[in-house]
Amino acid sequence: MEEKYELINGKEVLLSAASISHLDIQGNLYTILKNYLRGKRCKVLFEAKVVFDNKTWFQPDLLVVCDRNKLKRNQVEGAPNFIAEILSFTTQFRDFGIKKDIYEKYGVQEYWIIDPVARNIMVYLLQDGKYQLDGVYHNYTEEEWETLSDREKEEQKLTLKLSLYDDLEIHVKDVFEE
Amino acid sequence: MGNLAYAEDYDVEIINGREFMMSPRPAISHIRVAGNIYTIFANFLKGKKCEAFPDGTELHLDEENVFVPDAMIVCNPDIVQKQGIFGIPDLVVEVLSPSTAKNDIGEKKEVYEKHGVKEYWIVSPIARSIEVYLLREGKFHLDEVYHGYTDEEWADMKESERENAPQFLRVSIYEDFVVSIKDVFERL
Repeated sequence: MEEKYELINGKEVLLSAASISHLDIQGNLYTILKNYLRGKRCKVLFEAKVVFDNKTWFQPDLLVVCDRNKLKRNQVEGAPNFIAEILSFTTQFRDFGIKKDIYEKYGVQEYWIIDPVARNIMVYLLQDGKYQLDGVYHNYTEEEWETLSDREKEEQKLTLKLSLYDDLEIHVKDVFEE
Repeated sequence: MGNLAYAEDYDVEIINGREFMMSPRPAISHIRVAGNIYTIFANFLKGKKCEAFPDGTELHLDEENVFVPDAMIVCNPDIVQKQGIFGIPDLVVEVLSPSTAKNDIGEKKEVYEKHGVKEYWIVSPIARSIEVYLLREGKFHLDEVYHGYTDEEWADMKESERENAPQFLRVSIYEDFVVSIKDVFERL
C-alpha cells in the first residue's frame, strides 16, 4: 500500500493509520456536508492533496472548496474555504501548530480542529488575517450533562454552522455519532 | 469596578471586565488532575523561591481580569497578598471543563499572553493531554503537546511512535524541573 505523507516546509512527514473514532468522525462530517452541498457550487473532499506552495502540501481530513478553478486533476491548488482536521496523538502537535499557521497564512476562512478523545470541536475563523477562536463545542455524555447546572445547560451550544452558509445547522452529536 | 474585583460569589471570574460563572461542580477527573499538578509543583518547590498555588487562589492580573486558575507558580513573593495573587505568575495551568473550555483556549490565553505569563498549560482530563505554550517575544508559541497514554493505547503503538511520544515535560522555570506525564494523569 502506498504510504501517505505530507510536505511541510520541504520536509516529508509520514501519516499513520487513523483510529476507528477518527474515521467515524471523518465519515459523519463528510456525509453531512456532501448531502448539504449537493447541487451547490462548493464541494466537499476528504484527504485531497492541497498544494499551498512548492514546499507545502497537506492532505486535510476534510475540506470544502468553492472556487472550482482550484480543482486540478490530482490536487487542489490554493486555499480551500474550509478545512477540518481530526486529531490523533501523533498529529496533534502539527494540527495545532504548523498547519494552523499555514492555513492562516494562506487564508483558509474557517478551520475546525476535532478532538475525538476530548469530544471537542474547536472552530477558528479568520478575522483580519488572524485566526480567532470562535467557539468550542463539546459532545456531552449523559453523565457529563447531568453534572451541569441549569444555567450551564442553557448556555451550551449543541449545534454549529459553517460560516459559508446560514442555513446549514450541524448537530455536534451527529459529528461524533458512532 | 472595585466591587467587581471582589465579587461575592467565589465561583465567578472576570475576563476583560465581563463576569463568567465557573463550573460549580467540577468533575472528579478535573479535581484529580488539578490536585496532581499542584502536588507535583509543591513537592518540587519546597524550600525554593518560587511557590505553587492550588485551585481556588484568586489571581488579580488587572482590574478587568480576575481569574481563579487551576494551578499557578509564582516566583515574586511581593505579589502574594492576603486576598490572592496581585500581579503576573510565572506559570499558569488551566484544566479544561467542557463548559468553560472556550475561555481557557481563547480569551484567557490572550490575557495571559498580554500580561507576560511565561508558561501556560492547557490540560484536558478527558483527552489526557497537556498543551504547553511558552512566551517568546511577547507571543505564546505551542512548545509541545503531551499525552498521558493508557496501558492499552501504549500497547497499540508502534515502536517508532513510542519513541516520538514525550513522556516527560521540562518546566521552563528551573533547569532540573521535570514532570512525569504519568504523574499528572494518575488515577485517571
